[in-house]
Amino acid sequence: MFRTLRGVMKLEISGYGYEKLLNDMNENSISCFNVKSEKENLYLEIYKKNLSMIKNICEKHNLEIKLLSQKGIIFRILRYSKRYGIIAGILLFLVISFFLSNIVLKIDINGNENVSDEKIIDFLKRNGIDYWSFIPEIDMDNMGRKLYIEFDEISWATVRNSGGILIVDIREGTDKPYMVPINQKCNVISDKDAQIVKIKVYSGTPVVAEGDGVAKGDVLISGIVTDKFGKSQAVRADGEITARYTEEVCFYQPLESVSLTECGKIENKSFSLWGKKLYRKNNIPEDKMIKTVSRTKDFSIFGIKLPMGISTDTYYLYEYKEMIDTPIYAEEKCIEKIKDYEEIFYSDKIIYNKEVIKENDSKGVKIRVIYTIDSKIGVKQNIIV
Amino acid sequence: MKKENNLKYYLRKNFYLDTTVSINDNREVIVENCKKILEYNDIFIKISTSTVTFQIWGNNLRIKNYEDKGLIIEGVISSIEFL
Repeated sequence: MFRTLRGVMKLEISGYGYEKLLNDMNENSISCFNVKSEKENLYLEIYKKNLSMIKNICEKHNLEIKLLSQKGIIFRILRYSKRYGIIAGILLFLVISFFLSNIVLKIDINGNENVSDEKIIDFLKRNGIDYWSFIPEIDMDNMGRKLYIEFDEISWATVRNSGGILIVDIREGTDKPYMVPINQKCNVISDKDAQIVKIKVYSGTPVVAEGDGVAKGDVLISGIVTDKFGKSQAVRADGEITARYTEEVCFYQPLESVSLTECGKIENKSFSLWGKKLYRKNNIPEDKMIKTVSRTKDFSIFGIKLPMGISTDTYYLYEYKEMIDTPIYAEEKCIEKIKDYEEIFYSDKIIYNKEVIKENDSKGVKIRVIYTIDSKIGVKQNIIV
Repeated sequence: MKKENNLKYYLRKNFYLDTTVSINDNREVIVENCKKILEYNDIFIKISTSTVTFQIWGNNLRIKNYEDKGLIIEGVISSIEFL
């Protein structure tokens, strides 16, 4: 193994008195092995570095020397020494490896929910860390502390790198949950003018009965409880009170309206390397509103995804357009608005009755809706003793 | 003269400068502190050391290794003669 690494040469020595050669080699500390004498010729193996000395000794003793073979890794390397393309390729590979492992190719942010990636990347940029930054120049420990100081939401942050990927690990603090003050004495009062439909009391004294009408601010369940001995004490009143009340909502749809409509789309394709778009066309009109949808398709070899691919940015262009509707179309729009309103605000309530009043004029359609709703009412009002 | 010889003997022995000849079967001869190869071919090797000269007879004799005054001879050895 060691001999193979150093490079071994097999020589044929011919002439008279090759014993002198062996003795001179020993005197000069030249190692030789597998020495064999055959038909007045001497065959021996030596290390490559001793060849010149052996040539001198052979010259001295009038011996002829012939190289038969040579084996070893060193000869293989020397064979390629004049192939400059291979050497240049190896050097280029080393340079690229060094370059790619020492610059920021990608920024990975983990653990953030309330602070957006964009905010963190923007902060890193302001502190001199961006794509293609030189990694050894980044003060990672200090950057973690700076992130912690900059954002109140962050309770712990660390910055590290794995090759060319800069990893920002973040832990955000969680808000304290709202604590219900169970010892706080209170009444339940009405927050609407309504008629009581159903009453369910968990604690406290009910002040109203089913069928009673109440005004906003009236006490529904009192927090003062009197026991059978006539002794009064304050408690935290609690219960479920369902009441019926009316609400009037007005919807208006003008015949002339300005609406945002899509007027086209532009697709830009670019080459993406570690998430960084290397080529970007700037053909987006500035006077239009834009909605951007980006998607990247990474290349893969045998199912293994490569960190490069084609990124497609689709820009949907919008513009404001003035439109004049017919009264019927405006009314349809108004009805759609009513449906949306009901879906948003009355999804957890029961609409007992709905009265629709249409009032059209020359400028638009107006619809008044009077809702009779069955819903839970009552808010807690603390008793200050 | 006797004292000188004693000292020489003492030094040679303690500094391992004596010639050592080891024979493994009739296949291998290992010689340490070899000074010179006086003659060499495939049937005969004559070796001189600082104290003794000896010759090896045999067939297909070859020097497997020769470095730092150590010598390994391989082949079919038929006789060793001390001169």
